[in-house]
Amino acid sequence: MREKLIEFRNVSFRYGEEEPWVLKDCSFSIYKDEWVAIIGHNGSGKSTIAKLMNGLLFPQEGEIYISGKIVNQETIWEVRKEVGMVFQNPDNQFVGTTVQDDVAFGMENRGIPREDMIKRIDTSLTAVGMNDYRLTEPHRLSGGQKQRVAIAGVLAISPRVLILDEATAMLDPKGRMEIMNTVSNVQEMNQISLITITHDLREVVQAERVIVMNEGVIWDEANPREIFAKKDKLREIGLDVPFIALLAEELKKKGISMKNEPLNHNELLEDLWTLHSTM
Amino acid sequence: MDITFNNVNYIYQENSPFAHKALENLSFHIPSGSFVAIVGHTGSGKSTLIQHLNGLIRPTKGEVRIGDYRLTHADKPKNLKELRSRVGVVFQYPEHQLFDETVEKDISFGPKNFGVMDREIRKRIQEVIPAVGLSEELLERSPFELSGGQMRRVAIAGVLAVKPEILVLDEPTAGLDPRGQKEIMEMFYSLHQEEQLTTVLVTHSMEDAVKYADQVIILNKGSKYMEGKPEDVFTQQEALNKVQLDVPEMIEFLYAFEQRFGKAIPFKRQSIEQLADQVYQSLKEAGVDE
Amino acid sequence: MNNSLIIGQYVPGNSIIHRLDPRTKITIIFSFVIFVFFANSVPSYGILTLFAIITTLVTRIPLRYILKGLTPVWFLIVFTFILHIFVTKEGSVLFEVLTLEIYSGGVIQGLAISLRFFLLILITSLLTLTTTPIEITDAIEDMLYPLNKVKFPVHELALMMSISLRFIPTLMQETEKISKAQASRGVDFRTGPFKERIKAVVPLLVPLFVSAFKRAEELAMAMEARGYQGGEGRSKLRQLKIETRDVFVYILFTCVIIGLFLTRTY
Repeated sequence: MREKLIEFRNVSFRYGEEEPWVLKDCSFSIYKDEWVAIIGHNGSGKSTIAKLMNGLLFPQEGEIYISGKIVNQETIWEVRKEVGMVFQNPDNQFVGTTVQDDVAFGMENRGIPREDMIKRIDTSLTAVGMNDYRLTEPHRLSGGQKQRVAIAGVLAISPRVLILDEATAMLDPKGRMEIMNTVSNVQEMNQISLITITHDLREVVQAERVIVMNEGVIWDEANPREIFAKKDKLREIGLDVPFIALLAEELKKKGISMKNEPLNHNELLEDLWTLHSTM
Repeated sequence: MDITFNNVNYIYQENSPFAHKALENLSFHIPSGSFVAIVGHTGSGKSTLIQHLNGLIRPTKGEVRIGDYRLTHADKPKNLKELRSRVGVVFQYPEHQLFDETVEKDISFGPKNFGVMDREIRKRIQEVIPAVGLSEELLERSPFELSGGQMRRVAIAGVLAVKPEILVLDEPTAGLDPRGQKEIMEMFYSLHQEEQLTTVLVTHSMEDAVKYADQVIILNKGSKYMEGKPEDVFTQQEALNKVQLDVPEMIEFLYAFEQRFGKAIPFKRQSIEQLADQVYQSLKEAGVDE
Repeated sequence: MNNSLIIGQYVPGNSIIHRLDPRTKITIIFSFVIFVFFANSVPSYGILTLFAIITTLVTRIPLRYILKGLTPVWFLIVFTFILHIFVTKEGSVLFEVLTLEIYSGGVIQGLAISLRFFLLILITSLLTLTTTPIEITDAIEDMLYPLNKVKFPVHELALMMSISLRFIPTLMQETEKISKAQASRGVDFRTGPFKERIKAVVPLLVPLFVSAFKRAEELAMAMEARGYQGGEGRSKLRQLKIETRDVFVYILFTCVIIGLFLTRTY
């Protein structure tokens, strides 16, 4: 059994007494070195989950455990050492006046000595491919580059979990790809759990497990292949089904049945190839 | 109104150490009534191009013609305001421009500035509100109480209430979830057809460009890189990859299919259903051949 | 972006002036501002002018650019000169304009004051032209450090300044974006009666404030998520260091000041 890193036990949350519940009785666990995608349409409660994990919000009901410690006012500073977060708007989380100052910010807050900081800035900027921009000012960077710097800033404090809270939502396709590539590199290199929160189903293919949120409850929890198979139901809750899943569905209607639910072009073509040799 | 660019150059902060060329020798023609997609990376000059369309900026060199209005470095049209009333621009994240106390006042802001009479404005609001998918109950609410998606619709309603002939859309679906994106694009497309608008869509989404546009202009580093019908432009995968642009997913699939099976299925903007049929047919033929 | 905003804007470079410790630059420029008022003879003015001109040349910033940046100030300099010509009645009468007599003392004093004014503006603008705002902030934080003892929030002040600096370009872009969006909705910021123009500012200011508050909120959350808990126990990446070149510049400047005091009249 893998080590449980994050555990939600019957968590409910709302912003105020009179407000509607944003999360209703959510329970799930995230394990060590795992990549989990949380998806759902805007307002489904997925970003609230991220903020609860970091102690930026506290649940009204239920408990949250990070590495076995309960999250509350006393433990938040320890929790934040273990859980790093990258937010949606690249501009509104860039604190430093240059790239290296921004990467340093989290370390400065924790009193890490300067020599150590310089080393860590180097490794974490290299990990995200931004080492050539150390002295660049934020307004000369693209959105994707800013987000990579934000990831470097989190890596520099070596947390156990990295949460990307819709970190690609405001980026162009090129930036989105930069981030997705960076993230999968990072996941391979550093032993770190990864939680990506998104409404783009194409971004969940690489994840090991997908949690689908709808109206504040966990609607489904499965691997990407199983999720992709539920096309009509996904559409009902406002999510977009990827092209390849749609094509597979149409082919099935024509009587071409595939072994697996394909996740990408290659898998589909591979299945078709096998079928065609036996046709 | 037709839109014509003749050798347009635009330089930001000319004659300073920060000078930066945003458009270079750009020429194209958009006939009245067409739906054009402008595609390119961030920094390819798309936003600079857009700002020429309603005279927010004028070319450093060259000439822009919008109907009878002419913009050059030296001349700005005397009736700039009239031009702006005929060219509506929905900027990126348009909800950032909301400011008035109520949704109704905010939507009326544009038409009022352009001298539309109150009665006419009220009439237009009645039309525009359902068109953007809002309910009339929201009219008396403050725009800042609404959800992000609703705010976006209010902002769009404010542009539509001016009744422009040319509608310029700068990534109108950025930041929305898939359902919201689809609803907004479908709304613009039906408006385009019903009102015979000329629509200029700036987008990163190749899928939207293929789905809605009659003409595609690809910009790269401030210059025109390619131009033509979507089915002609997007099938040139190599040329597009060279400037790091993707092709629509269906074309990518067709390309991979051809590599694998040695059979070409031409891209004709077919639906996924039609594509499945073509794949099925060509597999059957191949099976018979062997 | 707006052209007029170039005045005093940092121009990247690698000259010795660019690389000086910002505290050196601030100290010398402040002293220069004071010593300018001690100049009272042609050679003493000459020494200071020479110093200012050589420093300017050493920065390797295009002269045309610096002078363009000074345009709004030219008017003041010329105005000061003319004022002195007409008001000061010392020395001999040089010539008459209509019924006004122009005295030699007026011309000399006018020239001196205008030159003084010009030197002050030139030298202080060199500070901002060759020093990034964050370096200036660091220098101020360092120079104010003793005030920590009297509970003056030096760290918070410096953080506030550096975050403001970080967000100035962002907010400028935002202002431009919103004003263009409103101009597209028919707002005219430039013409029309004064009252109308004031009213035209509301659609610009409200969205700007709304967005600034939203940014502040998100930024505060991001800072908190990154473990910010105030100045206590914090380490610092940015460090200021006095190098040989700073010492050299201090010595050179001292020589200039000695020269000034030797050549001024008493």
